[in-house]
Amino acid sequence: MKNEEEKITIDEFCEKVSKKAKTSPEDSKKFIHTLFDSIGENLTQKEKVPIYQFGIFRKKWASKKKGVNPQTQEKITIPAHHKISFKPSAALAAKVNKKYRHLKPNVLDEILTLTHLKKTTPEEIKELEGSPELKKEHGKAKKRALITLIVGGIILLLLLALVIILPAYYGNESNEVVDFAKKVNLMLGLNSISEKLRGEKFEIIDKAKVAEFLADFKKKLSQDRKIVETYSVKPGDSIFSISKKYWGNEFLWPDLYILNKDEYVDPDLIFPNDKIVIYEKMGDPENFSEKQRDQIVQAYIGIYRIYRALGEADLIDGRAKNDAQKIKFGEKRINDSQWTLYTALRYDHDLLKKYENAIYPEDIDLLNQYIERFGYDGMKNK
Amino acid sequence: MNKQEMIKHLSEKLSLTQAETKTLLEATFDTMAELLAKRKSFTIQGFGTFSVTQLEKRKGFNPLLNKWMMLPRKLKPKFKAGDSLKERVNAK
Repeated sequence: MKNEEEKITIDEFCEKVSKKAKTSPEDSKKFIHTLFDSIGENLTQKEKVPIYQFGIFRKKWASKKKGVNPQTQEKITIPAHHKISFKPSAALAAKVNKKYRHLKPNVLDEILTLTHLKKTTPEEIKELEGSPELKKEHGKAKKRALITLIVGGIILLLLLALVIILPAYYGNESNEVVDFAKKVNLMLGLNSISEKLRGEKFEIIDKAKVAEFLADFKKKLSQDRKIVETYSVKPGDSIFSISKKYWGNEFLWPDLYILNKDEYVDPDLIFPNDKIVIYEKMGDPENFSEKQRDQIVQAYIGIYRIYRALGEADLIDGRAKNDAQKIKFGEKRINDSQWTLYTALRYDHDLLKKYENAIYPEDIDLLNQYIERFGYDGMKNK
Repeated sequence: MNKQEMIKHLSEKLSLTQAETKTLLEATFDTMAELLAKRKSFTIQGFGTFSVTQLEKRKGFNPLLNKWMMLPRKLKPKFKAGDSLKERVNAK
């Protein structure tokens, strides 16, 4: 790696500045000297001189201490004095590192970190490499790895065979519930279900797929329903409040959301003067037909997955400016997703079993705890 | 002293308009950033030397995530105060 740096003279520097500011080099030279003179002047009077978008020059007090003159080995005392330091601002650091901007910090594997942390001396390494016991163990480990590989391969083949053969047997029996779970999983990917929430892998939301899913679902929901009115959103409105206003029940909001939002992804965002199309009410929530109940529950689960995916996207980067915000935003979304699911329980008490494949296992555990403590209608009492 | 105050102060001292001062000020710091990005160092008489060092990729601990991270290679701007500035600051 090249580590050398070139020096340029003050005249070259002034020439560059004058080209940029379209003035004569003499003028810019005069300006630069006056500028840094006044910064120095400020530094004599103040503790720090911040310069916007560049950095902070700071004066630090260093009390007197003993030292050694490296040339003569003579002991001397260094008198108390001010040190001058410079801290580049984030903007300057970003500009300087423009060519490295694709490089991002990575989380290290924990095992890797531990081994890296322990410093092994060269003698230790020699000992380790030379010992016959270690060589034996290496051989054993290799054998073990080979066996695991073969067994793993066989299991994988068996699983593949199952996946191919099973649908042939049960393919005809597929019902709507199973279809729906499959669709939701396809929409947002189910790979991460068995992985832990934070610190490992996340799924990132695919807006095109979500839009496709919503458009499809909208078709199903709007079948045989008349449009009553088109409502123009006013400041302070939410999908929740509009649902209550027109249908007398705020807990039908997923229906309203899906009937209107086939393009957006974020369920929390509506803006003044957006046009919301109000359809006929789906039915009386107390006397829903089986089909209506399935539809509203599926709408809820669709939104649960969208919230969840948005939360996980937030945990990676999303809207947040720093790491603390990432966790704050992400956790709020995930919390929202869990409450959405809990609200849906009022329509179908068996939802957790029915849609098991579309819900994260940890959320199923959590909701079972909620049900034990608050019952199925906890939201009503709050 | 914020940017506006500095512009005012400099324009009075150099008898330039504030707009001219502003373009000069911005051009100066922009040029400095560009030169540092190209790993050029330069000395300003009576003030000090600006230079860049390259930090190789290294391990670091992120206390917020509570995790060890591999931090990438990066350039770090540096400033070394000149003797006359040191004397000026320490004169009393």
